[in-house]
Amino acid sequence: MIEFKKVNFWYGEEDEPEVGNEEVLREVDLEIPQGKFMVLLGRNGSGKSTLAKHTNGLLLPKSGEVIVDGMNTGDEESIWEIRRRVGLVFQNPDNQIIATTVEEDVAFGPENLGLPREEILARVEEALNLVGMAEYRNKEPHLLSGGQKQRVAIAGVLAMHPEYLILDEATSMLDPEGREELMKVIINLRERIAVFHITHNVEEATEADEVLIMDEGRIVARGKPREIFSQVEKIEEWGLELPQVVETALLIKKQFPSLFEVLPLSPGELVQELCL
Amino acid sequence: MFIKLEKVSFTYLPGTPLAITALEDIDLEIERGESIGIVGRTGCGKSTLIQHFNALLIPQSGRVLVDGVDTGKKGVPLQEIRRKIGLVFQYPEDQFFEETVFKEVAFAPHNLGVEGKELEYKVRWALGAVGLNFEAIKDKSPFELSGGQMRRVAIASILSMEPEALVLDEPTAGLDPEGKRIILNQLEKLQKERGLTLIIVSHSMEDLARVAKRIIIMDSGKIKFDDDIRQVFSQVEWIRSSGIFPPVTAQVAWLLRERGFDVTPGVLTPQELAEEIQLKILERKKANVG
Repeated sequence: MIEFKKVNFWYGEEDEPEVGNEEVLREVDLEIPQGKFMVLLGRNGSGKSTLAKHTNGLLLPKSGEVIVDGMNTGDEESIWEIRRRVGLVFQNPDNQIIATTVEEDVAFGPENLGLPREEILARVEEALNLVGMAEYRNKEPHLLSGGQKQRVAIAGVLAMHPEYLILDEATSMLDPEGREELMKVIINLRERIAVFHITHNVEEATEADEVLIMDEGRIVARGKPREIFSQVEKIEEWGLELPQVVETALLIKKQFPSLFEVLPLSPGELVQELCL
Repeated sequence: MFIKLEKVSFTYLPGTPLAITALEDIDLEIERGESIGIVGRTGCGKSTLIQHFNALLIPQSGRVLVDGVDTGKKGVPLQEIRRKIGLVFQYPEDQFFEETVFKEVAFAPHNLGVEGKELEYKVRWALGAVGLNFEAIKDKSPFELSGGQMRRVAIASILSMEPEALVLDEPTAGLDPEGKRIILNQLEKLQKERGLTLIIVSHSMEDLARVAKRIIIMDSGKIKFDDDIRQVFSQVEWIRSSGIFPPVTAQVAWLLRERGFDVTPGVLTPQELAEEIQLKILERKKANVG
């Protein structure tokens, strides 16, 4: 479990937040349990990326603490073990690949763990299979599409055998196909490790075990997608939008209140109820 | 015809083993005042295509005519073509370099020799056109703005040249829903009220459903489909082969039709879809009573 305990953070060296340099995280309490698929939504500037960078000690709280499986991110002795357990993938697929072939790129992390060669090869194989990129193992990364590059980046994290995969807007620069490929990979991983996915795309939140909303540095809501997206007015207040299926269902419900007692989240669910 | 492409082809690194054909025999006509969405998977040639509209790229074969002027001819006033057709790149705020929003937006017209009151007028108008308050924002540093505001300032810095067409590459990428909504609304307003020609490259079919009337699908350097947006999005299965996922609403309509629920294909917004479904439910009820 990753636990945030009353975490406050502001950028800069000052001991106190000041005017013009306000807190980016405010008293954040949060638990990221193992094995769940969680989605974090929130407007630009609400603190999502800053929060992500706290999960593996890239940033340290100004007050409060972040504990990963019992280890404090502020403890220098634990930081490498924390970073093995918590892998981050960022927005730009072109900034995260360093080696000249896919295989070497994925091997980079486990090599640095000092594992025996057979173990490294086995992990690379396993990780590439999990993201559906095994047949590209000898390819040069720059020949891949954006979605494929992001899957390689995820494979690089998976080869470390982490417990948590944190995705900071990892789908936002991809085309629809790349996005779908990546979402499939994420959803397949959900039972193996915890996936914590930050996005602006509300459609991607509909399959989450849990949705979290951030606003002005605080976690302001947390619940199952159906609970979150039924709070229509709040959604607007938080600067978000409804998934289109939900919006459609709620509009129909205005005229036919007996329909959609359970809010549909996918096209399939909406159609199912109408075609009974 | 405002913008016309005749058999335009373009290859990167031609004559080398690394040659990549980005455009192949493109024929295209764009009228003044149209709102067009250009879609297709990464690498299909969209960005290469739009850079031909304002002579940033000159076709290697074929020709591009802007108001009848061939962009590839020697001695053609390229500056005038680039003023007429404003191009907003992806993540345009990465190119900010001035100290204030005013200077940033004034940069292009100032370079064209506009000064004083007239310059201020243009900057004021351009900021207003993207929904920003001139007085409140003009002296701020562009770097202290929110992501959505930065994007709008970047668009304003092209609008300040008073272009007749605005070509935008992924104008809402990376923005939150609110920032996205504001930009799309302002673009739609410019197109409707000022007759600005709007050409938007986007991966978001939901965004295009709000502003575009015509959709061009590109695939491997060719135009695969060019039609009214409703026509395009009513062919849900077919267009998937070009890497295009129609808006969720059109997918729902398609699923409903498959199951004998006869809604109009190619519905674009949740409002339209809901109205269609409500009508059909009423019809069904009437039929049952009858």
